[in-house]
Amino acid sequence: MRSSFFGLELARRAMTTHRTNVDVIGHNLANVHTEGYRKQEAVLTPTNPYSLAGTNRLEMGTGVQVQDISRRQSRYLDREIYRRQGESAYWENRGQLLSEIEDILAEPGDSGIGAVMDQFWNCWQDLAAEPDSAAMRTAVIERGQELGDAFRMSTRQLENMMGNLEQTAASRVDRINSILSELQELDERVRTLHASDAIPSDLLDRRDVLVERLGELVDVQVRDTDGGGVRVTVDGIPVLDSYSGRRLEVQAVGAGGGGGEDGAMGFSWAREGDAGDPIEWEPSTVGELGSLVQMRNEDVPRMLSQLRELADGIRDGVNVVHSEGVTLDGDGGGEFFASEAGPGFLQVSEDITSNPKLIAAGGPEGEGDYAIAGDGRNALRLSDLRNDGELVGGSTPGEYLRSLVADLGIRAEQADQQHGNNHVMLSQLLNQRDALTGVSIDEEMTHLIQAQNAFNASARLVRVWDEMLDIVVNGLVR
Amino acid sequence: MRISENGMVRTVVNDLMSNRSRLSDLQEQLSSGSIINRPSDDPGGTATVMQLRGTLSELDQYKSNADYAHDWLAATESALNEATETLDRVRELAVQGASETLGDDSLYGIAQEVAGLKDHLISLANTRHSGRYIFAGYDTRNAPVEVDADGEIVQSYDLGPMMYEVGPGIRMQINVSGERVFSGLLELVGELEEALLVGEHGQVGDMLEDLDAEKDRLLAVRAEMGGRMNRLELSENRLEELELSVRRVMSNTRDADVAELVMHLATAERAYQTSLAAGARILPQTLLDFLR
Repeated sequence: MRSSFFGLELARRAMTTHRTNVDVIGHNLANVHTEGYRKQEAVLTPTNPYSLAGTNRLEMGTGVQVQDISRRQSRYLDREIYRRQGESAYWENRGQLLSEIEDILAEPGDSGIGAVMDQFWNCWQDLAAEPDSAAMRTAVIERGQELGDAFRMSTRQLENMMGNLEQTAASRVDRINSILSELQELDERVRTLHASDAIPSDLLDRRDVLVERLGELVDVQVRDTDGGGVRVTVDGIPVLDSYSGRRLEVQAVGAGGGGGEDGAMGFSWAREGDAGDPIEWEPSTVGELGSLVQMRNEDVPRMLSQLRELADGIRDGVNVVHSEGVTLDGDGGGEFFASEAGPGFLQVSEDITSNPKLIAAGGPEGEGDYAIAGDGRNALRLSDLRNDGELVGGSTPGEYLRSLVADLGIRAEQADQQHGNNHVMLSQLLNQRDALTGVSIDEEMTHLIQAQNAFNASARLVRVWDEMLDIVVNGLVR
Repeated sequence: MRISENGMVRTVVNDLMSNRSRLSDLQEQLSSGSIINRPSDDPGGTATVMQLRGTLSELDQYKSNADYAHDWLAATESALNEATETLDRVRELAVQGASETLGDDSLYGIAQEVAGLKDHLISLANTRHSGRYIFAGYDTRNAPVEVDADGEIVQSYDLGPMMYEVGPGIRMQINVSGERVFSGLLELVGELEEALLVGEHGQVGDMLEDLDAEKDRLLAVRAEMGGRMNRLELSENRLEELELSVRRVMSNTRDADVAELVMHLATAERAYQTSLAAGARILPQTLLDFLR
């Protein structure tokens, strides 16, 4: 025999259930724009039925309950997104950094090395026209110094850029480590709760967000493990699982193993709280850190060495021809660009800056027995160096610079295109995931009305029972 | 398909950003007037622009060299012209002096005039252009002809050829050494003066032939100079044409087609406004607007 209050209990349970449903909907609405939030749903199931006494045939329903608050999953999309995000971040950042180098080179502009170099070759022609003119000699020195300044400025900016890249990379390493610590802590809480059969949806969301942040920085792979935890690997190196974690460290730059100021920046994954067993690591070309390190270890040093090769080629070529010439005093020419300035630097020799007569515009020595003052033949030969197809790395200085700039342009263009493609694909993936897991206000409002109606109906049920019981309790016996 | 709030916002933001960046690209191209503002805009085009810029700067240099050469040749020509005229007068005087009817007084007068013409020839041999002796080869700072204390003419000409580059691969000698023009001439005029002074009519008559030879030589040099001037002018014309064609290629490679850009800009603006309008209309609407 059912209790007299069975109906009331059923109605009460229904009201509680629908209230819970409204709360879940409220939670969804509140988090409509929360990063990484996945729509939650109250899973309603009928409560256990009640078998009428004396029969196994008739089962009475006993109402409704919230069986579960489920969280929408999208594991496959997540993995695609981590990957695409890393690619997108890599190319975006690479594009920005390459465009920084483009700004430094300032080509094809009137202030780049190319324009200054053109003027440098031209000024020798001016000198050839008036080799006895002190003004022209001074002009040649000025042009030489300008050329040196142009190289020095680009070189210095590139070196600064390398320093900035190191600092940025180091700060990204810090961020990676702080994400990993937070991730590790969250993972522990998730596993604890998992052990007691709870589904901590919001913690899971947060954990996914952290992995995603990590994925913008490095190439990250995630696997779910038994017990609700995750196993995170970076470029295949396990950096976090239920048992241990690793932290990223920057190896000393340039010192020891790296060697020299251009020594590569190295990294290692050290076991947390344990000095031994670090794994050396070079970021792959995925994620922001990868782009920073590649730029720091490859692109910028390459650009620097190319600029140095160009400067050295010009210096050596000019000095050879210059030393074959004759100064205004009739002596053999010396160095025009001082070789003690070191590789990659163009600096007009101090002898010449203090005595412009030492510019060897005349000659070459021993060719023709002429006076000196008006002899500009060697200056013409110097001007001709611009067409010397062997001056720098088997090409003319102009060709060398052009191919260097075009090569940079191609790399930057490729980065922009790759970023564009990846960005589009990433947006599509994110939209797909949002379609699956995102919150729609329309949908929630519809469900809210539904839940409200259901709640109202249950409340009405209570009133009906109240009236019925009133008759039983107060009306039957009078 | 379910459309979530986040997805909708992302779509609107992405559209706005890509339309905005298209607008800003077009704006940069329009305001700089150039479609190549950095190597990545067009790597091949960048290399072309750099090469053409180098060529233009070379052409500029050739033009300035040619200008200089032009002035130099003009100065040379005018000196030679004057030398020819002077020589003509000397010959007239020599013809007069050869006549045996003239008395010593007249001869002396002629000798005086010849001496004056000789001085003039000396000053022509020492012609300077922007402070440099043009007939002195490389020895531009020293006068090639001097008269010593005894009134003797001392000549020393350097033979250095002044080569100017007046076009791509075109080198031209612009100077002529005084050795070819003046050394024989001055000697001859000196001898003539002497002969007139001592009244050697016959000797003066014999010199006429030599004077004619000097004149032929002078005319030959002037013809050569005229030839060089022609070559120079041809080369200058070619430089102009070359510059024009280089500028045309440069403009085709680099310059923005303003009409086309403005059209693109209008389209991009339209797209941007449309995406703004779409966002503004769609984003605020939810079921909430219809519930009360």
